[in-house]
Amino acid sequence: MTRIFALLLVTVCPAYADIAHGDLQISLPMLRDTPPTAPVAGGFMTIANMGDADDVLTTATIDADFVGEVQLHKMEMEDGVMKMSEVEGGIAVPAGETVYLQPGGLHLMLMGLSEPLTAGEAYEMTLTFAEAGDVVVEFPVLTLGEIRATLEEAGTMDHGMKGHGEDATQTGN
Amino acid sequence: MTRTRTILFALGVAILALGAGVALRQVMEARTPSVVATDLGAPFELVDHDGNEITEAAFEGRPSLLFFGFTHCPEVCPTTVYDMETWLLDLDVGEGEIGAYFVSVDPERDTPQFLKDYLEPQSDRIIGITGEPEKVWDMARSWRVYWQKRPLGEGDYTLDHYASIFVLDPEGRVVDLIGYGEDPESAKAKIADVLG
Ligand SMILES: [Cu+2]
Repeated sequence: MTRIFALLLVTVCPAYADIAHGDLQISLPMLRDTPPTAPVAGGFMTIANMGDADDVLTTATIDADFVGEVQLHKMEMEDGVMKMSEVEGGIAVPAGETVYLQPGGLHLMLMGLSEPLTAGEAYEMTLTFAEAGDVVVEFPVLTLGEIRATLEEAGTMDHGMKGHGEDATQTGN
Repeated sequence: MTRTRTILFALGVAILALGAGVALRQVMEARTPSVVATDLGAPFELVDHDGNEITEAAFEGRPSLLFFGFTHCPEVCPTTVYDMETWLLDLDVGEGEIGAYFVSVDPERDTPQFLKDYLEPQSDRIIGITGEPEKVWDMARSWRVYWQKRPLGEGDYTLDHYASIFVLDPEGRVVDLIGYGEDPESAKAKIADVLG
């Protein structure tokens, strides 16, 4: 444990450039590292729609054969209970709006992992949008500490914690 | 909520649990320093992640943190394990000073070995609790913890579940709750309080 925390302190989060794809701008792509046997993992990013046509993220696939599939999920806290479900019909990215996939809210859910995701690795994901089509984005694997630091630095943390209700009066460190 | 409520009523079990959670939280928010819920928890005989028998006696003799989750959880459970370990390290809490328990509400998938492989790389002190599914669920019910299976296609499923950590005094009684996403300083203060 100690070693992991020491590493965490010295690791600088890799800066990944924003990806422009038509009217969409994708930033802060991240996957969360997993304990060795965890069968699932979360993926996050920010999608800004600069155009004047609505779009929808319909599917995501990952270039890693040890992952069963990627689903689009939402998570909500209600009376202290965590509820998670697939987002039916995909994740809407309305014209002129920014959608945040972050811990505590919308996320990509990697299912059926037969190997862990290790911080420092990166995987390509193909994101398919109803209007904008396919875009390939590289997702670095970060620790939870790095993900929190990245979001804090980007100043977008609050968006992801929406829907946490009374439990979310504070965000993580 | 409406649809969920209906399902809960149909099940008959969980609405009570949810109500208990809310009521408990309201009491907690008043920050009453006394014991608030002596009726939570019942005797149990389950196994820890090493396969050894574990009973309610584990919660006696020192304070404990008690969390109900499952390993197929993408976020709340790994985050809670990570946070618990981090808080205890930050507070420099010695090995035997506090018990930290992760009860699986998914005992069908979370065998002792699976829990062990999941928890040990993340923490030296968080002990997994599982066992015969009905017995585990009885134990979870005695803590009025809410959980609910939710299908994810292809026979897969996830679980909605109560996401707060119970803070127990050395007699095994709940004296506080740490909510999911709670400010780390507040969480640590609650742990420091129960450590006295
Ligand atoms: Cu999910």
